[in-house]
Amino acid sequence: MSTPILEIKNLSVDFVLHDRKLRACDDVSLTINRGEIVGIIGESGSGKTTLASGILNLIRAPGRVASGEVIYHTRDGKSVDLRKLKEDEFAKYRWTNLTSVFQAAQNVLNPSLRVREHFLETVRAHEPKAKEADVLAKARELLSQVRLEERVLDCYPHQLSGGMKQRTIIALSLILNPDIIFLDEPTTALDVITQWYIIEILKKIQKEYGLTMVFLTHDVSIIGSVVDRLAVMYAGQVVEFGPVLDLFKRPTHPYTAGLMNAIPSLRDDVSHRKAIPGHPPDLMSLPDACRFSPRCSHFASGVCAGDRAKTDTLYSSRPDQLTRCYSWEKVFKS
Amino acid sequence: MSLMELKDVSVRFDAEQRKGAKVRALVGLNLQIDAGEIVAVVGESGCGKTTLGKVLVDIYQPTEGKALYKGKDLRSLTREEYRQYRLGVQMIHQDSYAALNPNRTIFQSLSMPLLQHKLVKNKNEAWDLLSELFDEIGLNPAQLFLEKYPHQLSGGQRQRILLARALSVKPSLIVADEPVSMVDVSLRISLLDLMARANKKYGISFVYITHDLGTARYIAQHGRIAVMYLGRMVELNQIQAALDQPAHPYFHALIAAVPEADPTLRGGKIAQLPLKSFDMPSVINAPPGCKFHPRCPYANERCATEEPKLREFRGGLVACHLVETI
Amino acid sequence: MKKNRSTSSGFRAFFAVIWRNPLSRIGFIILLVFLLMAIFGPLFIPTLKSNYAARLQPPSAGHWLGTDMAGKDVGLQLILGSRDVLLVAAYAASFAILFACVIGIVSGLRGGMVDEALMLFTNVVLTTPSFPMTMILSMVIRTTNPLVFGLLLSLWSWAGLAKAIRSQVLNLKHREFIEASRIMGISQFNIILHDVVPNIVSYIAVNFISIMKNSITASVGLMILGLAPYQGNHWGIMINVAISQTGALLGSGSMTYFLAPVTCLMLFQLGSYFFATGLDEALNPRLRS
Repeated sequence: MSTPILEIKNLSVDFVLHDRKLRACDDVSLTINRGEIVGIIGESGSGKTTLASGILNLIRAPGRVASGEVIYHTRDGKSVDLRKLKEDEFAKYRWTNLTSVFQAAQNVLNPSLRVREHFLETVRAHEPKAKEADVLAKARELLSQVRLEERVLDCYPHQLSGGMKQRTIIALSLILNPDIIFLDEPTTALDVITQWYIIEILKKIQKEYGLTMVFLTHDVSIIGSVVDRLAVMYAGQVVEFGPVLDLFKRPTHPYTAGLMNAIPSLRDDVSHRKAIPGHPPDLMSLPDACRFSPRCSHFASGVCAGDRAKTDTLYSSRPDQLTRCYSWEKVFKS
Repeated sequence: MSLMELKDVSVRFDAEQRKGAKVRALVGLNLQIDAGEIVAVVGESGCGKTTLGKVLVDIYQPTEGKALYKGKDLRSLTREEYRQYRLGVQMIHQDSYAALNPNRTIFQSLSMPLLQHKLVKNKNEAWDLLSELFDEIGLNPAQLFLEKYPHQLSGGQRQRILLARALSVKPSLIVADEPVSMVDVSLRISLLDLMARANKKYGISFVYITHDLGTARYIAQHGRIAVMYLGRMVELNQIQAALDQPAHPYFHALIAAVPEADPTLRGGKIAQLPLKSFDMPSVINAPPGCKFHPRCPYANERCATEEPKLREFRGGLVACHLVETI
Repeated sequence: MKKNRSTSSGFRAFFAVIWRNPLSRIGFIILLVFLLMAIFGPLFIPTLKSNYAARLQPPSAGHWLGTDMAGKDVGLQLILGSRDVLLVAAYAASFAILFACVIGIVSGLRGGMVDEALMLFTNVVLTTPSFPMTMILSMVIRTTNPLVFGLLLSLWSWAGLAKAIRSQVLNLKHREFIEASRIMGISQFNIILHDVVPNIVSYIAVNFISIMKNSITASVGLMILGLAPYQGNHWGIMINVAISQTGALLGSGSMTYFLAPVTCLMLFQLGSYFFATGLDEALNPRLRS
């Protein structure tokens, strides 16, 4: 059952610095289906966090959304372009339909409020008449889902460890039965064991509540074990999008291939690992060619001319896979 | 004689949260580092691995035990010997931006130690030496990088500069504390390759501190791995042997928790981590006996009361009472 | 093997930034004019002769700003006085900064008993009302030496800055780049000079200008009260004499005798303030784009 829940169409986000324009997100289009887990992989300068902020209406000056639509299809069949909503209209959707969990509970929890008050405040912001007993009962249920004890309700944020804070935030984000949850680096800065644990919890919750998840990270190893489909971003553009297994085993973009190859793991053949040459893209001075060409070995060897105009669209490389590399057939022969 | 040795080193700090309480960041640590070898030190946050690194570079002093450089206690070195130690043991920090003076150009920062220790005669010689070094580690044209300020460079470039700075004084040992965790994933291997090359070419030993087992395995392929938990070393062995057959239950759980990207290599992954509880106890309130026993699925009464000592097992060292039976 | 001087460091970059900012450009020009006036003016002026026949005259062709009560040209006095004004202020600021730096840096870096003792001392100085103390001291000391006068004025202006410098140093002390310098065996002195000071230089420079401003105000205040220990040419003395002995405030023709030094003072303060706004950016490489 793949009905779309979120359609991002031609979203572009600019930042204006010293009267020079930096396009952090360039003409991004993605369709996310209800109930699936979509991953977005990107390193520094990829634009993935800007994308999430753009969707969630969190872009503040000097940034602004230059163009594009974000069509959200609700559970009861309505469709609304989130970009056209004013802030107070958007606020109605925030937390009730779209929620977010950002990196390692950064500043989301109010240090002077107990956890129980966080739950109460969040619910009351949307349903002022909600009864305290009901809210706390639901909160207890969610906390047990994330394997936290009831006593956490009475704690202040500083009394919780990083992993516990992150789990609390995940529980908090679910209190109003959202449709779709955005997670931006939710396990970075957490220990390996805590990380494993939180991933398991997320998978369990997703199944149980039928949530749609959008998982943003730079960590290729984690994302492979969680998501259904994966989008790879580079220099503000989506360069590949498709089922995660295909992207891993049969990538059709040199950046994806390079990325998969550059991560050392515990069981692979160490001698096959190779870093991607060059350095991260400078969005202030992009080449007038394919944005990945400075680091692409196929461009360097002349197999591909790196024509910029040809990289303005995505191509269908396999039935469910999209790629920005117009030379993909030449490059990925097998 | 080993290059650097820690003998029964313990480090105790005053707890920030509670007056009078002490944090035992390192307890009874023994480690020998030989010339030319690479040792990976792994563990999660709070395990003491960073403290270990800082004891090696004498930023923290042991409250018990001794740190020895070339067989001599650091505290008993003469001034000239200490100066040689300072040149001989270097550190690469995790945060490359914080580790460089924001108000000095790269050249100014890196030439300072060369000039002070008289490793070069004047600024021109320093320039030449650094240019050559930069070319070798892939920062060319060197001039471009030497004249910039730290904030004008990317994380990966800065981290290379930290490596260059450490190499410029021709050390025998480099302590790298999470050197790639703040660098883009696609560039991490290139940095690790540089370190491996320095190790091969100049015989420089490395102590690679990390929580990421994947990169630890990559760089310490032929070296050893030390696993830390709550300030204690719980396992020490050749890295491949340790990863194939982890002896300590904690290490076993750690390896099981590492995510594997490649689906075809994931086979046989256990659905459940062999751990009783997922939360790490705080360093101030360490449990009695074996520090790991509250989370260990195999723990018995002896584990709850008696702290295990590191002992030989299958070619390496393990601190566990029950390792033979698991 | 010559290396090319890049324009991103050094004096050229410094002045480029000062010039770019309209406010600091104006401030810089004003201060430059005064500086030139102070350095070169007195070289060209012959000793002023008293001419009691022409006293207290309003501005005229021969005397652009009129004459004072002894018939001396006001304009020339102004120029002569500027040298002492600037000298005293510069000495005062220099001494204050020197004390503040030494105490602040040593206190911050050493910590422990040294830190506590120095901070106790600093707090005592800070909480003593500075102007009354300066007044008392100036009743006791009489001097024509701008250096001594500057020292006197500095005695109570360093304490606040010392505390601020100390907290900057405490902040820096644990930063990784200082730790890296220690690991490289850099001497304590070099760490102070190369790692600590460049990171507080912009702070010090801005405070230098501000202390200069304040010491001018303090010295003028002393002079108007007739308490100044100082006997040389000074705008403050001109103001004092103008008020007390010529009734300038009451609207006589010698208004310029009073107004000229006052205007110069105000201009100087303004120039200092404007210049300081550009200083922070000019000295901090991260704030330059």
